[in-house]
Amino acid sequence: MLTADHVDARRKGGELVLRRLDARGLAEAHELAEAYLAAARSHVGRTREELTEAWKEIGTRAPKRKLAAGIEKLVDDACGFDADDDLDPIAIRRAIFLRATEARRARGDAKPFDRDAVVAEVAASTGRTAAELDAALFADLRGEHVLRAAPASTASMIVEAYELGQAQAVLLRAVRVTCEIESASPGAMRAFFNQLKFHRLLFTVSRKDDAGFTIAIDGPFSMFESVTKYGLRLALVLPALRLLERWSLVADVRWGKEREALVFRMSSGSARPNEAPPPPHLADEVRALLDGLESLHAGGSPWQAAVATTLLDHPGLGVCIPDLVLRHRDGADPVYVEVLGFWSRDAVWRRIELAEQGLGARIVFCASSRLRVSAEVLADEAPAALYVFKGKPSARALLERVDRVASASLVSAPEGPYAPAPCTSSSPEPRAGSAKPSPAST
Amino acid sequence: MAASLAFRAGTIELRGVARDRAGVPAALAWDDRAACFRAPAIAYASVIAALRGAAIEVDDDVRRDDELASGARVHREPRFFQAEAVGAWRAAEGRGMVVLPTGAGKTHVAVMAIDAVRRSTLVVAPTLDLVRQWYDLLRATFAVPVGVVGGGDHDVQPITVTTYDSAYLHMEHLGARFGLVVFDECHHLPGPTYALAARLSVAPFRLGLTATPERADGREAELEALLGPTVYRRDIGELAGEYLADYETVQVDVELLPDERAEHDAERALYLAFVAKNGIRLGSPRGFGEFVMRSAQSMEGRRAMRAYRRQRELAFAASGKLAYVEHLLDRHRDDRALLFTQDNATAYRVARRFLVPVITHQTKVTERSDILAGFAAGKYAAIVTSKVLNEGVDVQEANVAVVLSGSGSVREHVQRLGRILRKRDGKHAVLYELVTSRTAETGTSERRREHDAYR
Repeated sequence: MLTADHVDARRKGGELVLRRLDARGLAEAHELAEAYLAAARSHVGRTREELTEAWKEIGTRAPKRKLAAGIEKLVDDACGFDADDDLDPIAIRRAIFLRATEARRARGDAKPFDRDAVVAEVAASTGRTAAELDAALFADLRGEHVLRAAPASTASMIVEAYELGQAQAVLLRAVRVTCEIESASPGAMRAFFNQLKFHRLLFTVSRKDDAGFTIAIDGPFSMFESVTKYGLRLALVLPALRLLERWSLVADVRWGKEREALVFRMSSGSARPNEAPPPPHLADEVRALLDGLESLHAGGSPWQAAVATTLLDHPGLGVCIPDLVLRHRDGADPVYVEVLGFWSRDAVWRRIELAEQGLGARIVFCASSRLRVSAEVLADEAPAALYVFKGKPSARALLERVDRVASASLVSAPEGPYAPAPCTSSSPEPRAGSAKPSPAST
Repeated sequence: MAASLAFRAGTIELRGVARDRAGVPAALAWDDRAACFRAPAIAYASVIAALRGAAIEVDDDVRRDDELASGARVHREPRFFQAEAVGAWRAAEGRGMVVLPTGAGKTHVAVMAIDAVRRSTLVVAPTLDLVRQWYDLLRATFAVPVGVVGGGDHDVQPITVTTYDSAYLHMEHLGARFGLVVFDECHHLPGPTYALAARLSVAPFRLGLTATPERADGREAELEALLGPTVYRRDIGELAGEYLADYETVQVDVELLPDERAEHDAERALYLAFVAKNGIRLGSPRGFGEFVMRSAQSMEGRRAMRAYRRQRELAFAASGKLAYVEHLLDRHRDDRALLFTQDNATAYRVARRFLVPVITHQTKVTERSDILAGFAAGKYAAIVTSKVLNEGVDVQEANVAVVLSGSGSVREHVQRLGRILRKRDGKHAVLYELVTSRTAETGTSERRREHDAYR
């Protein structure tokens, strides 16, 4: 990963703006990546110091020093170095330094200390030459490590990693990140929230008009002090954010030695205001279930299914991102469906806990029988159901659970303005809960 | 639902209390993200006191520290100032900083504090060498398990030793597990990162140890909030002779050889011409940073940076210095000498040329231990090092220090002197400072000698 030293950015007002590679810059980056990779390939079997010297030449001639340093770092990260294990440098040093101390103490004042004689004496006792011992004396130092494998990456891969790495390196200095997300792919959204949870970050979710969510992310201690302690975790979340269809990000960073407070922005970039979002990515089993439900609706079922664009959250407990939403033709509250498939049993138990605490919406969880869970864990009168399926989920069997859940009363949300509030991002769905910012946590 | 207080990731969470409940301590702020009250872990003691004052009952599940199964099994008679220091620290309710000169036995103050409190203890030290030294000492002193976190180890025990880096990284998990935290060389603590090691811990007992709390950036004032006040202080002049070895400092001026002088002056002129041309004021606090920035922006600048490095390198490792090192190694071949350099490259150059063992951050722990043991046993007469032995590492037998090169830091210079001041019968210590005449090193030397120890 690149570090803040590799970032090529400028300050513009209170903002930190990355210098994007234009066509010429991209060409230069490719050229540099090719040069660094070629040098690495030609140095297999030689020391890191030799390779670094060769790379230094490339860097000195490069018009853009930071670009060269960043590309060098990424190529270096992809190299495989190892110490030469033919001789044991530690043992050699020990033998030579002990003998040198004795020799220095034993010599008369008139006789100078003879370094080469000491090395030759130890070499003779080990059956090696003095030159071999001299060469091996510090062979275990980083600079003496031998390049065993050159990177398998292409120049294009290195340049792509450079562009992502620039943004990640800025986020290393972030104290807080706010994302605006318009995504119709439950799987990608779920993966994003799983990353937040995995990295033990906290967040608040609020609905942004009718078009998506605003998610403010930082760490537990952040409410007392703006710390960059969570910067690495924020940087590691970026790849999951980039997999969403439309997103933008605003990071508060502390930049430079003076830790100047600046704002950093980036976005998916491709979206224009009136452009329809790309079609959602659906898991195969969800797509099959949706097709089955649509067939049943065409055959007279009162339930119409669509891909859900809703996020249900319960502060302090977690987030639930349904895959589908089913609306009854008589206009009753929708019922959500989350397909857990072959996930872990833990995931199922977490959903059950969320449902018992009250998600503020009706929902059916679909889990494979391989997870060894029973549908009876949720009470019949609960506004949530667990549909345990064998093989593939059946649309008809799912609708039976949906009918039951639709008639159940909703579990009361906890008191106060911080009650769980489903945040709805598309206008056709009813907006459950209040319009106030809805806090959530992992 | 009963209110509960728990440790979470370097903070404490209060749950089961309504947001608008009266009397909730001010240190606890409502956290929208998790729908609970939250305070920094360091506020734990004051939060508990305030909750009691407000008659808010809570199930306190915060602390995970234990009473040590036994106290110290080895008791050494403390020196008067060590006993006074621990007494002052206890009188301050087990919070605060003890300032004693290097070699005066700060470690023993910590051992006495751990023995007095008898709670699970975390010792935080700046380097892996010091971690290893603390580990050895604590294992020899206490009968309870001692663990290490850092340098590839993650073994949390009732007494654990770690580095500042690891404490910063792991305190959000470890912060409730220790009743006492000892910050060795605690002048490292202030600052945006390491300070979190103190803020993310609930430990009610805190002890800071240092010889030199003062920092160039003046942030030593933060130590009081992180650890407590300075509870005891003795300076080097009060203890030299009786409790520290007698010592002298010798400054040796070395001339560059004619060809070195010519190259040095040419490179220096080139570097200074760039500085002048760009209107950079090197005397101002940001001057050098500006030079670094400007030098990266052009070929001419990069050449100027290379010139700066070269003239510095010539001053640091002048051949006259190396010749004088040869003389000193011979002169002190029956003593124990520590040779200090500013950079690793010079340390390795000295090691290779004079066949002297070298310790840098690249030296593995086992080899470091072997070299230090060999030095203690007299198998080696000298060790060359850059900065890793500057602080705290106990090389009791060392009586000669040779500073080949260093920064302008007063603290670094005092710490290096401190390495040879451990008291031993008949010991007379000497510190040689080799300075290349008519180079920037002359000014650097003057800056670092601005301390009572050198007057």
